[in-house]
Amino acid sequence: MHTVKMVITGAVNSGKSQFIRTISEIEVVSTERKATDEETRRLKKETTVAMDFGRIAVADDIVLHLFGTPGQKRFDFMWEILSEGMLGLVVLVDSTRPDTFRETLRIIDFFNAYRPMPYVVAANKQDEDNAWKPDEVRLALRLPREIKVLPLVAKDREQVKNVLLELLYSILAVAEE
Amino acid sequence: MALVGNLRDFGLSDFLYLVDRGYKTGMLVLQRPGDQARLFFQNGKLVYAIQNATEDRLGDLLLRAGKITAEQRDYAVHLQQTVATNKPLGLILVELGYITREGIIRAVRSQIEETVYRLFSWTEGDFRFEPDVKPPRESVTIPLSIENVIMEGVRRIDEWSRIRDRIPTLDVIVKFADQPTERAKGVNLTPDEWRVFARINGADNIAAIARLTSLSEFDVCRIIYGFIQAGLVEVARAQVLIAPEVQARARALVEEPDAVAPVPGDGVPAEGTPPSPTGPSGPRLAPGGANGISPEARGAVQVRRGVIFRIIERIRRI
Amino acid sequence: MATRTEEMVARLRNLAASTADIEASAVVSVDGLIMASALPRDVEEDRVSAMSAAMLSLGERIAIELGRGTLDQVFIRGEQGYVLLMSVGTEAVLTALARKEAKLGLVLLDMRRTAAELSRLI
Repeated sequence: MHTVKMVITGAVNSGKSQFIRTISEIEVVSTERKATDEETRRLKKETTVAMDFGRIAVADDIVLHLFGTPGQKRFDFMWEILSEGMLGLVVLVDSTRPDTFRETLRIIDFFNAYRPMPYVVAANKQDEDNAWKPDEVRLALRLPREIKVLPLVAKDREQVKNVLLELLYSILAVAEE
Repeated sequence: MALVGNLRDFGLSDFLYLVDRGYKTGMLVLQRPGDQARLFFQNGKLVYAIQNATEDRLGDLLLRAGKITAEQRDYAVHLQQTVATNKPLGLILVELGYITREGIIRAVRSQIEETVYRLFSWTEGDFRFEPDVKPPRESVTIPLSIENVIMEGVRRIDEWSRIRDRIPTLDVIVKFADQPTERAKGVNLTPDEWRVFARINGADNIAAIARLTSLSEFDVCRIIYGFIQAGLVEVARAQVLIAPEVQARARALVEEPDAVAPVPGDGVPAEGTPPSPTGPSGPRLAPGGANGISPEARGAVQVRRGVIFRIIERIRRI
Repeated sequence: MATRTEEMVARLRNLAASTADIEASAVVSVDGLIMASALPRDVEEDRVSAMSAAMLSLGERIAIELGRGTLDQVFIRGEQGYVLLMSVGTEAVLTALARKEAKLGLVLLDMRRTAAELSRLI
């Protein structure tokens, strides 16, 4: 049985749980709890405290596991735990909130310091009025040229699928190096 | 679609870098209680700036800068309104001998610079970029290189926390961004800055550069921070090296399953894929630059039977 | 007139006093923020609170998925002692660190009593 693990991460309220919900075949196992801190509460009522888990069956002997991390820094031990055995990372960015860009960079640096692996960045919430476009997000995050920054609306299946495919192609490129 | 934010989270030099690289045209409004500034950009160059709600006509600008007197201004305006209705005020003033063309350019540049550099000291303030908005009619515009503006702005601030964000340790290595000599052409650097610039080679870290130039580490950090903000250099991220276990895992998924090991001397391979007992087979996927895999190569994936190809096919079918 | 936090800390101190087996304790919100703590100085509060919340939420999920019903408690046993987690109402978690010789039955009883007192405060 081949289990391929991908992790979905990003700052608070960047759309990680939604991303997995949109594409998972099974009902997403989530660990959302009522938010009590000011900052998170302003954005949403509930927040992930341990992880989200979704699954896509590829064949009888292949399954894709998607793990969503909590966004707050206090849960960074979960980022480490969830990274065990992973193959690639999707970093979601809330394109409407440039005040989260720095935090996003810190998360990317954290994962790179822990275990460098293929990753793609998805500029989420592109359907909203004041969303920064993917190349603007790229410039703002000053990402290396080889990192893809993709447009995303996390509720849209086609777009979520596209992000996963781009990550898979990046993983493939790594394998063929 | 406006870009909005606050300087608290997104520095002015970061924003200017965005405008420069994106060749943007429009107006950036910055606001904090009791204070406002408007910066105008044309194709990525800063061309004009106004502070607060100052009535901003050229005459007022020159008067404020002490280049002409109120009487001279009034007379020129009177002429413009009566006899010379199509002439720009600047030209009238020059023809009257009140000021030279260079004098006007210097004064306008001064105002733009003063306005922008003051903004670098703002630690917070709402900003809003409105694309395609043009400077007020009749204003004289001077294209300023953004790199210079950023370099000078950075020279004036002492935001150690921002510097630390980009340069967390003295171990950091920087390398030139694309076309460094092109961009460096328009930039005015001090002798110390040139000394550091000459040492950038993508191999020496900040500590080494400080030693080699006999400058303090603090100064080198600051100078290199300026270069980074101006887009002349970038931090050499060691990220291209994927962790070995991750690479191994990826390779394992590319392997063709053993089930199709060939018999030596066998004829036609099954399903058009030449099976191989050792490594990945089939069409070698060529890298497609920034996107990893070229489109033609993507079409070829379904021929291969390694795990990752089956996953790709499955996801495609969603 | 003690604040709610002070009252919670008082309950936690009672808990530690009632049995030598409990070395430290804390009350944590379900999203991982510290509400009251009686933890030793060298322990990072934020870590304890985030981990407790994560652990309890996973425990609840697993208990339900595997047909064990509503979660009662989570206990983790290490070579040097135990970490015990118990919900306090629906909004908080009581975390206690017990030494390795602890008599678990009694510790859990004390914790349950404390949890009941705490839930009246929250």
